[in-house]
Amino acid sequence: MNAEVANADMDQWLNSKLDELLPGKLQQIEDSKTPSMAIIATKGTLDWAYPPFILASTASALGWDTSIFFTFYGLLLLKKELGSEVSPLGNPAMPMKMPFGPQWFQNIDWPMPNALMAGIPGFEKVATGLMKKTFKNKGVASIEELRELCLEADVSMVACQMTVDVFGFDQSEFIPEVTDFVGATYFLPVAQKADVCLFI
Amino acid sequence: MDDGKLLNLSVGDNVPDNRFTAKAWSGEVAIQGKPVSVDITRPAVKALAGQQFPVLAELELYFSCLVRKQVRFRALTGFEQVSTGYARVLPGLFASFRAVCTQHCKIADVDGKPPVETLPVKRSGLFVPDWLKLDFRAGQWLGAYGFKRTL
Repeated sequence: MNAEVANADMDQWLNSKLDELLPGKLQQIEDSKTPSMAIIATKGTLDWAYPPFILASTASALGWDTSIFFTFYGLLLLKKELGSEVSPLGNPAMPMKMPFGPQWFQNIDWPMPNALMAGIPGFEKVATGLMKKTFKNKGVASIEELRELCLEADVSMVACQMTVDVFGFDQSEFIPEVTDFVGATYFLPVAQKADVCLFI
Repeated sequence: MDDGKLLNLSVGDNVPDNRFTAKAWSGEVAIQGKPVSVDITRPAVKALAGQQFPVLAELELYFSCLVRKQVRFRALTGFEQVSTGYARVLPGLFASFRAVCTQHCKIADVDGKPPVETLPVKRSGLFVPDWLKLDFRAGQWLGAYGFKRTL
């Protein structure tokens, strides 16, 4: 009976001590933990190239552990020669403004019919050139520069080996800073442990 | 502390190679411990001589949904403004770098674009560019900077 009472007292003491100390300890662990981000980049067009590099470079600048898994069309963003293009076809949200001329001209959002965009050969090249000029006029960093920023910020860039095989690429075509050529089964545990996981 | 008088903000300005004649200035300065190659056109060097106060070329890398490069030119109107954080390029010309982001504020409190604030970058010297070009045209300072690998 005395032992039971003693045990109950001990339990009560332990519980109250835990209630007192545990929140602070958990907060301490939380504060000392390095946040992490895992990004799965699946697209290789010019407009979709920006989000993974911008998010990764920003997170890394803030001290996060960041890694990007480039798969499918996203693998093209790791090539030494970046030739990303953009098409307004199927992109009805894209503003069709000209990056040259007087300001009133630049402000016009030209209504381009799909038939025109689909029917004129080389329209994607024109759209890509205009978008790049628009970004350059506004001082926006290019994809190449963003990738360089990511590399400087120690973002881990991981390539999907299966995509390399399927599309007939050679590892020598990609930048030497690619950390690994792996499969999804490698990256899934990384994504599982990450605080933030984004699919782009 | 007063950051000096804003001269102009250079965004998306191009400083082509043909602006750099034989009398242009070239050199290297350390910004946050990183060597940066600097090229200054002859008109910019001459404009410096005519400035009443030292000029600060503040390189900003603006993080938002896109990353934008801009150079903010200020006149350092007070001696105390010459901070140890500024790299001396030429007599009367200083350079600095910072990563910035949009300051969180209510739209009703701000007239026009929201101001920027320094991004709390964990590693000093991260994202400092490799090269900087300065020019002076039509009464405006122009600045362009970038990173060494054009990839």
